[in-house]
Formats: sequence, structure tokens, C-alpha cells
Amino acid sequence: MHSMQLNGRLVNFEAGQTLLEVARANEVPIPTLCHHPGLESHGGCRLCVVEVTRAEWDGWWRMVSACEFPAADDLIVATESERLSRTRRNVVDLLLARCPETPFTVALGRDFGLAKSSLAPRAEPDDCILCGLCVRVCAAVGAHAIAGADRGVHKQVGPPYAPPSFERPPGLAPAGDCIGCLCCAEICPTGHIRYENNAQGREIWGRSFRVVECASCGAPLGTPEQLDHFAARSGLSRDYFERCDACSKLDTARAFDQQVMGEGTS
Amino acid sequence: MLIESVAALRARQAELSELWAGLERRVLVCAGTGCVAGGALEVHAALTQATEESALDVSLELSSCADRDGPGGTLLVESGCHGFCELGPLVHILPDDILYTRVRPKDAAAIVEKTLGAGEVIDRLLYKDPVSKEPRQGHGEMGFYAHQKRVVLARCGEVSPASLDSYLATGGFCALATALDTLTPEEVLREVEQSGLRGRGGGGFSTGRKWRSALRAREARPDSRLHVICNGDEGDPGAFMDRSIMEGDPFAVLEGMALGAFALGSTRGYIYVRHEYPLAVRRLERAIAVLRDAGLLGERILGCDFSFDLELTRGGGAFVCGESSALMRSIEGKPGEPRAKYTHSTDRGLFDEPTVLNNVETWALVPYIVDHGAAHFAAIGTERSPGTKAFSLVGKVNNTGLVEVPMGTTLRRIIFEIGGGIQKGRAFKAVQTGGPSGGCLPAEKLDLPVDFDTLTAAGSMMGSGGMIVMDERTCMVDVAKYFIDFLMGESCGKCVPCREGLGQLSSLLAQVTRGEGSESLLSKVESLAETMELASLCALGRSAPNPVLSTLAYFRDEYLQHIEKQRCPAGVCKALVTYRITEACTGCEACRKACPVGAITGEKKVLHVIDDALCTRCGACEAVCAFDAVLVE
Repeated sequence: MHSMQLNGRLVNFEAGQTLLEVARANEVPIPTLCHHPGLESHGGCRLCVVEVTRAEWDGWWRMVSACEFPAADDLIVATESERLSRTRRNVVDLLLARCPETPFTVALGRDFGLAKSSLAPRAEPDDCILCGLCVRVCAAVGAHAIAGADRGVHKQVGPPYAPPSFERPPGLAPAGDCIGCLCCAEICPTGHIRYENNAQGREIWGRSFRVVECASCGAPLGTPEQLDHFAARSGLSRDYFERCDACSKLDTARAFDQQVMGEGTS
Repeated sequence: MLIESVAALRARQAELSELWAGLERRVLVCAGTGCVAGGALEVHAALTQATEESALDVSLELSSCADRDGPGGTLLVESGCHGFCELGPLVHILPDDILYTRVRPKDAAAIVEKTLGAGEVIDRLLYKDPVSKEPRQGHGEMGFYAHQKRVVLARCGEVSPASLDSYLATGGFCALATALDTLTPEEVLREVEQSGLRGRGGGGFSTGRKWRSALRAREARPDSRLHVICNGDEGDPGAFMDRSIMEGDPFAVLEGMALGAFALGSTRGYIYVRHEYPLAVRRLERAIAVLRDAGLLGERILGCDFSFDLELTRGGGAFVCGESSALMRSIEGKPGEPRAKYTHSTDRGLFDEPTVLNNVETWALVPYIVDHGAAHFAAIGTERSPGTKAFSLVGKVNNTGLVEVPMGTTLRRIIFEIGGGIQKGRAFKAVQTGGPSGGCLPAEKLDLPVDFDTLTAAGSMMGSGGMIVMDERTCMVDVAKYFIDFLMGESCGKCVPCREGLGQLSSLLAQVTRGEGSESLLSKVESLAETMELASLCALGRSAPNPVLSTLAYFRDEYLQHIEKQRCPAGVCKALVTYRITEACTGCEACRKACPVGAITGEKKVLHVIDDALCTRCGACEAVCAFDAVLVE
């Protein structure tokens, strides 16, 4: 069994856990923004920074992101300090300057005691905080339709090889590999990735998709591209994806019922 | 020509060394990027033609010197960078040690006839001492060269970078031959450990320790491969040490990597070179092909049980790809974004396998260490920073170029003895070391010995070896803003403190240059800088505030003058300066003609006047005034 010190308390952990996982298992709160337990760690927001040291480091310490730093034996971790509060507050201040009007960052600022940013607001702000959740979820789905494009203050999320933002109409650039599954929009914490479901189908990333309906009940299911992708990825037949979850369950239950009950009565 | 065994290699080395020693004369035309841009290739062609037309015994390749009865004759080649880029194209004639500067193709006939034919020195092509204006014949008489110690640059400017023969004739591949027939991999590794070599790319991490940890990681995962990588993505503004080594002595870099691969049991290496270095790419690609043909790269090198091959990858132009984890992702074909190095790349680097990444200069030093022994190398330089370091000395010094000195040499010696002092006799103000994320050191720090630890303690860093000298006419706020803006454009944008912090620092510094803000603005700058240093994901972000912090530490008063008195003491920040013409004006009309916006009025022989409302502070009037009558205040 492995153990380390967390805010002065000895805690156990399993090999391979990150500091964030150990902290959460021990109900020690650490703020996060770009972290999602189902996705690869990104380490971009720097809100989950903590201080680590070791007895043999002679007072030397370093600030690390808890979502990525591996827990290790005899590590001494502090999740709260004057310095950490100052750092996290500055990070939030920077994000608030980036997205001054976005409800998500405004609420975040309030949590950190900032009514508004103390820094210069971005000239033409949008709602993207570049947390990278959309890019990672798209990769996890297997579509890889969007990625980080350009760099530094010009960084943005978009499809690969898209023309730069100043050379195309406003809005999301057309993503050729998008399957219209909406995962990116669902995971986006600020609502920056916009989409529309209407009578014609679905619009997202500058593309229009048809929406397939459940073969049994007629409820909207998803785009044909999405169902093809899921079928190919799972190795299951395309038919499997042509019914909504509720109808699939019902079908299974009926089949089960028929088989079991049928056997019982014969 | 395939060399089949270590014995055959040694025989070839002996044969070529004899030819080399028998040469009567060597004429070296610098074909580094700077001199090539100045027309060095045309100079070489003109010299070739002139020698062909003469009766002189001149060869263009070392091996063709063997075709005659006895040794001797003159070897005329294009060489790597001579270092003194300021006065290129350069032609160096050895052993006479005659250095001709700013040579034009039309000078070729005179050089061949007078110098090569009659042994005369052509005075007008010699370098003139900036102070005494006396001509200096060669390296021996020039402060620029006399105070240098060339180890890693020893062959740069001495041999043709395209010629494996010249490399072999000057001791090349002796180290690999020794390693293959008398040393074990462990012995090579121990030699590097004991030499105390520290990485020349910036961090100064012990090369031996890095190699050792990668070897341990690989032993712990027997199914994994170990990769060696050469980082040739030198992107610091004003830095060209690594470029010069790759262009001037490519075989040394490749031999160093082969030795590393031998010590570490690696079979695969990568060289990552920035796309902006086409000449380096070409020479390395050629060198790799030549070594494959010679059996010095590939399967069973020299018939021994050691196989190693290399692949050259070109970077796409992102500064951040010089950061090791971003570089590895770039080689893998992914976006060049750094990752947190909580697991070292020696453990999980390229393709998630143990990886050793060193920079060009570090690899090029390995053959020297194996050849001369760890103790010999450790005796050069200082105890904690052994060896020499190459610097690119640029800015407001008289002699700019590529220099190499033992570690521990003072900044004063580099700037004033090698660099020949400040241009136009102006006062020294600061030297910026370590590239964009380095720091600016003031005159009080000139006697600091240059080594990894001293520079870091002084608030700057060694970095890969850029050295930019600034004079009294440089505004330190403007300098800080320049570097912050550079980094703002080059940050990968993955983490918040670096991406957003640099943008904010840039706009805060812009306010200072306009004379806006107050002391609280400076505390905002310092607070942001602290967050960036502590919380950024990679070393680029963590060191990015250095230019601001070091100038604030040493030149705080200059910041305060901008903010409190709306004054730029160096006369640089356009919003804060006015141009005025003083009584010294003779009415020559030069400034009136030079002014691009017509802001200057005045008749011939009458005092001229600048209309401040029209003036754009471009400085054209000041530049043309021969009487120092334009005052910037």
C-alpha cells in the first residue's frame, strides 16, 4: 500500500493515481476547469495547481497541476496556501479578461472574489476559454474533426487546415470530418460551440446533417454519419443503432420475455 | 566508398592525415549562411576559375591531392562558418594565417596572383582594428580570435563540411573507432558522465545523468526501444551557434549521436532541424547519405555488431518545438504542444519510449570527450560547468559573430576583448543572454564569469548561447516589450498563464512605453509574472517573464521615468520623445530631404526646424545629420 501526505494528513493511494484523484478520494477539494474524468488530462487551465515537496528536498518545492502529477510515496502535498490562492485567482482573472461577458467565467470570477477582471479585456471576445475539452472528446469519440489551430493569443479550436478566422465568415469553420454527434457542444462548459436542431436536421461546425429517426418510435436518433461511425467503431451491425435506447431496451425485454415465458409454458 | 572494418577506417584516416599534413596551403572560403548571403559562393567560383587559369597546383578535394607524385599543393574549399560574420565573405589562407574580409569575386584574380602566387599580402582586404585602424593580418593578430578557445567549432571554418575525407584527416571518427574496437558501451557512458558535460541547449542538465536514467528506464522495459534525438530547432532571435555547427561540421554531430547510440544501445536516431535552416538541412542530409555509403551509418557499422541509422525531421517554424516534449510530439506528427514533464522523457519520450534528447552542440562535443578523455574535457572551463561554450555575439558590439570560450570567461572579456567594445564608442548598457526568455544584465555584472549557475543566480540564464549587447541608446522597457511580444507570438497557447499572461504583459508594457500607468501597474506586472513562473505548463511559460523581471530588477528607474515623468531616457519610445534641431545645425538640408513626411523646414545655411505635429519620430533626420544637431529628448 502506498501513502503520502495530503495537507498534513497521511493518505493511502494506488499506484497510477494522480494527485487530483487521491485528493478527490479523500474529499479534499481542488478547483478544476479543463479536467474531465473520462478524458485524457490536458493540464491547460492550471487551476488545479498544488504545491509538492519532499522531506529530502530541504524546503525546495514546486507548483504542479494535480490532474497530471502522479501520486508518489512520501510526497508532501499542499492544496491550499496563500501563494496557491493568489495563483488561482490570477488564472481566473486572466480567463475573465479573455471572456468578460461569458456567464461561465463571470460565475467563476465570483467564486474567486472577482466582480470583474483587473486586466484589459480581450478586444473581440467570444466564449471560448480554450480548455480543450471539445478537442479531447472528439478524439475520444474517434472523429478527430477538430483540433487546436494557430498558437499563442491567436489559438482557436477548429478543423485542421481551415482558413484563418480573418479569411472566412464569422462562426465555426466547416469541419469536414465532423459526424454531427454534438459531443463537443455537450461538453463545452461555456456554450461557445453552438448548434441547431431544426426541421431540416442539424447544423454544427458549418455543416448541415440529416437526422435519422428511431425505426420503432420515430424519436430523433442522430446523424447517419454518426450511426455509421458508431457501427464501424464498435463492430456491431448498423441495425443495432437504428433504434433509440428506450426501444432497444424494450425490444430486448420483449425478446427475453418471449423466450423465457415461451419455454415455461411449453 | 564503403569502409568495411575498424582497421580499414584507421588505415584510411592515416592516409588522409598524411595528405592533410603535406598540404602546402589551404584556402578556405567561408560558406556559412551569412557569407553565402554576401556572395561567398561566387567568390569561391571566381577563385576556382582564377586558379585554373594560373599555373598553380590547386586541388578542390583532398583526395585529388593524392593523384600527383608527391604531397603538397593547395587545397581550395568552401568551409563552414569562420565566425566573423560581420565582415563576410571571408577568405582564410593557411598556414600563412591571412584573413581577407569583404571579398568580392573581382578580388579573386589578385588573391591568386599576388597571395597564392607571390606570397604577398593584399592590405586593402585585411581587417582593420576598430580602434587603431591598423590592418591585422590574420586570426593571431585579432582580438576576436586570439581570446577564443575553439573546441566544438574547431573544424568550422577549417574544413569542407561536405568532405568526409577532411573530417577523417582531422581526427574525425577516431572516437567511434576507439569505441567500437576497445571500449564497452558502459565505458563510453562513464566517460561522458565523468566529463561533467552539461546540456548546451539551455537547461544545463548533466548529459551523463540523462543518459544513465534513459538506460535504466530501458532496462526496466526490455521490450521498449531507446531513441536518441538531436535538437537542431534553434529559434532564439540572434542565435546561430547550432546552425553554424550543423553547417560547418555536420559529421561531428552525427558521430556524437552514433557514440551516444552505441553507449545507450539505441538503433534509431532523429535530427530535428528547423525549416528556416535550409543550408543546415542540406549539409546534414548529404552527410547522412555519405556516411551510409561509407558504412558508418546503417546495419553493422564497420562490420561490427552495432547498427544505427538516422532520420532528419524538419520543424514547421514553431519556436515552442525547441522545447523537448513539443519537439517529440512534432516528430510523432502531432501538434507541437508541450506536455507536463512529470514523467521524464528519458522514461517516456518519443513514442512513449525512453528517449535521450540533446542539442546540437552537446552531441558535437561527445566525440571530443571520447577522443581526448573525460579528464581533459573537465579541465577546461569551471568545476561545475566544464568545457567551452559557443555564443553568437550580436548587437551593438564592434565584432559580431560566432565565438567559443572556456566556461567561466567573464562577460567583459567576451564583449570588450573579443567583441571589440561598443560601436561608435558609446557606453555599454546591458547584455541579454539566454535567448528571449533570458535576462538583461547591467554593467555591474560585466565581471561575472559566464557559466550555467552564475547566470541563473544573476536572474538571466545561459540558454543555448545567444548574447545580445545593448548600448546607452537602448530603452530597457522597449527591449522587455520586444521579447514579450516575440514570446506572445510563439507561445503554443495550451496553458492559461503563458497564453493570456503574455498578452496582458505585452499590453501593460505598451502602456509604460506610452508613459501611462502608475506604480500599481508595475505590481500588476510582477504579480502576473509570478503566476506565469509558478504555474505555466512548460519552461517557455515559466521563463517568459524573465526579460521583464530582470529589467525591472536592474533598470527599475527607467520604468519609473516612463511612468512618472513621461520620459524615455534612451530616446526610443516614440510617444515620449521629441526631435529638435539645435544650434549646431549648418543648414545643409540633408535632414529636410531625408524626412519622409516633410516635417522639416529650413533654407540652405539657415537653422532647420522640425514641426512636432507632423514628426513621426522615425529618426531619419538624426541618422543623416553629420553635425549631431538633431537632439532626441
